Amino acid sequence: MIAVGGNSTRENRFDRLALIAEAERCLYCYDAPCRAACPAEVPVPEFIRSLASGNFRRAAELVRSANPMIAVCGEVCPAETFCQASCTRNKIDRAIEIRYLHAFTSKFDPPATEPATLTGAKVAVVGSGPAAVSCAVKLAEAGYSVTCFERSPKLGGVPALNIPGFRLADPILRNDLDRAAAGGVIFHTQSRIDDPRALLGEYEAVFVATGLPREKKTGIAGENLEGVIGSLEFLEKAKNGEIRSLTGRQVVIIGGGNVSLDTAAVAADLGAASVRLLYRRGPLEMKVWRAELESVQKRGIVIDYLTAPLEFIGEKGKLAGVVCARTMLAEKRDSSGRRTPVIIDSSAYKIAADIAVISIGLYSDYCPAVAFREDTTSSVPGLFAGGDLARGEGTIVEAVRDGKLAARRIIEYLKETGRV
Amino acid sequence: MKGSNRLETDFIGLRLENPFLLSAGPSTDELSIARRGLEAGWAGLILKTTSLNSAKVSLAYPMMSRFAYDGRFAGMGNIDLISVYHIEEVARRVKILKSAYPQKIIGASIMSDTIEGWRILVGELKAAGADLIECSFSCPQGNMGEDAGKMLAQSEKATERIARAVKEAAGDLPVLIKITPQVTDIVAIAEAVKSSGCSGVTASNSIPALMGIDIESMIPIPVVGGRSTYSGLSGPAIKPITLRAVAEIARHVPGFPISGNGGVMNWRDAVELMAVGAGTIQICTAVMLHGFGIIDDLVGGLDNYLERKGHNSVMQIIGLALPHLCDHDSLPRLKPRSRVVQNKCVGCGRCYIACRDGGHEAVVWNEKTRIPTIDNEKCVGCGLCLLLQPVEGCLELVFDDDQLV
Repeated sequence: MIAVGGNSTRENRFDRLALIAEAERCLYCYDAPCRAACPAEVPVPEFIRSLASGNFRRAAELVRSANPMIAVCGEVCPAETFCQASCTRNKIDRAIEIRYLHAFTSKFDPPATEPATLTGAKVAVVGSGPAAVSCAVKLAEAGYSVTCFERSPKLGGVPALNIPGFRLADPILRNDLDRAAAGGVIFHTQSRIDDPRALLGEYEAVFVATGLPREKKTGIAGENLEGVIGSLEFLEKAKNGEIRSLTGRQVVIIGGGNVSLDTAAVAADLGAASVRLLYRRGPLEMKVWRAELESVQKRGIVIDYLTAPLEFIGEKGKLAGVVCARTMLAEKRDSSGRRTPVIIDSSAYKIAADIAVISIGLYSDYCPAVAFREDTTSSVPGLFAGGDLARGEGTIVEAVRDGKLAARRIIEYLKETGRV
Repeated sequence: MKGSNRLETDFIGLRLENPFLLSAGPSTDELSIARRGLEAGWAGLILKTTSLNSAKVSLAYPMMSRFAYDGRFAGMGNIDLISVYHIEEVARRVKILKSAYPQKIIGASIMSDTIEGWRILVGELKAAGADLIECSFSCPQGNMGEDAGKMLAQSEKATERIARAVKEAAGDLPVLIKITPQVTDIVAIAEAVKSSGCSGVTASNSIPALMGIDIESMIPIPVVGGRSTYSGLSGPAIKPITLRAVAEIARHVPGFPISGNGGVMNWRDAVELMAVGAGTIQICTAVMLHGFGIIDDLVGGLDNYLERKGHNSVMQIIGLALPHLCDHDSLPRLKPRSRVVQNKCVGCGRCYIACRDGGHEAVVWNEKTRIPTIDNEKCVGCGLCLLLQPVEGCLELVFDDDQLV
């Protein structure tokens, strides 16, 4: 799951005069392209109009009914590639800061609504990340009894466990989770569900959104040394306090995606003596969000482009260094359409390191007997899936879209099969 | 060319270095402040309205409020009254300012509740050496004296009677009568001033208005200890009203001097007001909001405009717009059509929404390109769509049938 954030250049983010001035820049386009660009289909011009008129509760209602993760997305959605990229004002001066306005709406309570009449049908949700919560909220709104099972002691999935605190503060996530719970969703933590099919007896349908919890390996020698760690584990331990300080440590990060940039920033913030990011391609091939790159540049972290690790070297079972080599980009392109990196002969050199964080991609090995499909269905009737698990690495707002879509499919399924 | 004398203005027998005067208000109510205004380059000033030493002036605070739309300052409201300084002090200041700034126009505004009072005020100012007297017949809080609460300038008879008395007392000293646009027939009021023998009118004053309601407490704005009252509205919102007032007087009382006042925020507004007949421009609100320094752009902007248009005196633009002004019956009946300028359109669709719901359903939306076209059968050329242009020139009116696309 990819998230950006901390992009706001505004000192006083929620000054009402500044906010309304920004809202009033909106052209309220017909058939607005920003809305079409939002995976969660947030009705952007409509909520901005309500903000500009001071109708904050209606603005909150418009956003939250489209996006149950309103507060989290308000902080970390890569809006500059979705709504803000399509803003008509880009053709005039600059896009409306839609995310900044969106974040503001999360501070307000929508008007109270009558609780839905319960249908009597029960749905289980495995996971408590953005896809899971979005699906759960939409089902609860439709009158279904929804229970979320989270394996970790902490609710929220990647935003809770892995997104660094400097991007997403806990109270912001809690805002969305608390509203989901207030809407009737029941959450169980430390409830690992090894096989979601087993829930199908007690529950009429099950939605699985367990994400991509496994780290891909480099496959080079020394990867099992103490001190070599996956980025998700690193970020989780840094966030939950297991890793409190990296003072004096030399940290090397392998990878070139948004997660590796988060990892580098966190390592620097924990006081590492040096942080180096090794990326086997060049800056043009790096597919990262602007805000992520800026947060690394701001910390003065050096990115070693065109550099690949060859071997992790240990001393007494502990990591002591990384043998690297320089690469060059061949004309041949790989499946991502990018030029393939090739190691340059006799370019190997060693750098000192006592921590190496691997961040070259994620995968899931959850319940391999079931095929989870990108369209939110699965190979098992009654079993639905979404988020990164079903779709591959994506953004929070795409997980929200998946969750909403799955909720619609589940309701259809329950009605079609007479389960209500 | 800098340093030209294009801006020199002759008005009711006075010579001004430029047409910009500080109108009677807070910016001319303290000697130290007024001095800085003159130093900044204003051609002169009219000291805030004064009264007999016996008059009681009881101010209520807060007195200022604003009217905003789309986040922009559109109008200012005040519940100010006349100056707390009476005639003795104001006459003293006229003397000081006149001796310190002999080239500047030093005027003073007066108000009284009796004919004798008006005469006394005029006499004091004349003795002090004022260049100009302005009579406030149009304070939005109402005049003192007869028919209290109404404005003198809402009655032709009262206007003429008092203006005549003032003029008799003033003799050769120029007198302007400051009038209100809040009147059934402003031409009749201007005629009354003219027949009184006064030099001209100041058109026009701020306009009685209710600035808003605090919808939490239901107390109108400004909130003064749980109560409120009507304000005098000034600033950008009243410019169109001032323009009409000045134009009406200039068209129907030709040649009668008008000092334009009300809603001028920049040199463009000044050009517009002079184009409908104003001989000088008085400014208060813009200075209260942005300071005396705006005189630099007022003077520079006006001078550059005059040079570009080939006028060697600012007085040449007075009334230039009037020949184009007529009654609705006399307008030509044309068949304009809107046209979308494709290479400028940004695809916002505002024209589509406006024409669909407030026009003639003549804008045809293209979902794919997001660039609308105009249905020439339905378009009547009302011009609504042009008001919404997000960029300059993305829509235009075409008048020649041959040019229709």
